[in-house]
Amino acid sequence: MKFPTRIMTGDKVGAAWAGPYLTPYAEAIAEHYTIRTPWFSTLPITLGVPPKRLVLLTKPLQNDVLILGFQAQGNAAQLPFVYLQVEHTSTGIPWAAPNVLPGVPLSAISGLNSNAMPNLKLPEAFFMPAGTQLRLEWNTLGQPSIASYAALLLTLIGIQLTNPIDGSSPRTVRMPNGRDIPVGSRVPLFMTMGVGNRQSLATYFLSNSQQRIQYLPPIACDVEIHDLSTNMVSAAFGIGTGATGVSNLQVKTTVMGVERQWTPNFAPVTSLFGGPGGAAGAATQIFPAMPYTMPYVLPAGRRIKVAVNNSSITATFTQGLLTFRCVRLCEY
Amino acid sequence: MLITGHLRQIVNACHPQTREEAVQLWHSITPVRFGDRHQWANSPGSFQQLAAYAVPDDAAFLLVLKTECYTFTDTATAPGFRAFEPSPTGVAQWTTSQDQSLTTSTPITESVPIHLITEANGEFLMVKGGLTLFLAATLSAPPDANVRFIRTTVYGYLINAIISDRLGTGETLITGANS
Repeated sequence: MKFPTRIMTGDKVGAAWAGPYLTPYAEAIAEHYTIRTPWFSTLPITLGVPPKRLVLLTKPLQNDVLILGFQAQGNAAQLPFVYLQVEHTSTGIPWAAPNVLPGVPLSAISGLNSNAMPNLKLPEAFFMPAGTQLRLEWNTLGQPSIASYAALLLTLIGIQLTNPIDGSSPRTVRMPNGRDIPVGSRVPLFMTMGVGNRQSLATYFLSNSQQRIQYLPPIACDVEIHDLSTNMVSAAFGIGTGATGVSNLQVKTTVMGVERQWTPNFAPVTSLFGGPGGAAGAATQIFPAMPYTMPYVLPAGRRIKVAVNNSSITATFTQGLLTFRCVRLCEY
Repeated sequence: MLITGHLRQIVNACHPQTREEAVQLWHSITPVRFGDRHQWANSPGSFQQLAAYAVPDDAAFLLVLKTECYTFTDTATAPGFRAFEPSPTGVAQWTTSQDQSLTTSTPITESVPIHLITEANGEFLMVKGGLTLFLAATLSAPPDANVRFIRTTVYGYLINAIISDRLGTGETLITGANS
């Protein structure tokens, strides 16, 4: 029986690294080539004293590449506060949704080398044609107070694709539901919101016993939500138990503008969101991004409302960030 | 039922053509009720916050529809103990700020006799997402030495850009003077 779903591919293996499996979209692209080689490309980044803005371009490649995931090597306590915007220079499509924050926290887009799971898969493989580049825009802010950011290495992990079967890159691929879609119509998308009141340009603060309602920005295309990541699963916020723990935080999500899309109760933030976790300078969690219960299609133009409840009467949270890791479904 | 009544009024004011459109509008609104309780300070001329709310960045707009404000004394021996009294004497205005600070906020209404702001059952003000809205008053001295508190409640609605586009022309002008 055909499963009645609007989701074109799903993600068979979740978006955690979880082994050398490809999404159906990636697999369909890879099958267009006779030679497929594991590919790693490492970039050194020096950010130093914040605030800093730095733009880097990746080298143009000789062959087509499928980028599957990222890993960052550096100080794990700092990396959740490094913001990265990624853009393919040929299309100009940004990976981080436009928002107050200047990009997506690095720990939500990339695995950290000291994590239990050091590599983090993108919500969807990104096809980068030969000769094109990624534009990486790095930002650091003044919050939390970090005197100087340690040098870091970003490794792009993927598959180099050589010798296409018909002599050129695929223009369309056939998905499991039988539909042909253009290559490039499934692009990673990261939507990040700060938790609490915005106290200065990009500093968020959630007071004790406070509730806040916030919204993700509406996107012009349908969006598949795959997994969720937060920097609040970390020792800085006291994962686990105790009056100051992240266990005091609950969230409730609602899709605005439609009937029958609401959640009647708050759920612990750790039941929805994964994160790097661990003590300062380390990261311990198996799921830096927690797979959503299913890849959920958010219709174009709709917003997700997130209500956050701090049930602690003493603990406050500064610069807590929630990231929805998605796939943007646009056909250009 | 006040809030559901407000929701219905907002949706109706958008003149939806179909039930589907009305449903979409209805589910694009989030009611928010906020306000402060502060002591009526015996410092005539001081600038005092009566209510504040930081509108979420991607909320599009906050629509304020109703404000309530009253004072009372909690001193057991005072005349009128715990009896509702009208808003404090003075002037008030709505202000907004980008950094959540009342002192650096910018007025979006005139400074008018306080009843025009705090006894408003048909308020119709819109505040852009990302700003913090303040109800700020410059108060006269309390009528006697008994400690009085000011309680303020604001009925607001987070609305999306479609609703604000349709209703934005109806914003209220508030004007008046003390003598």
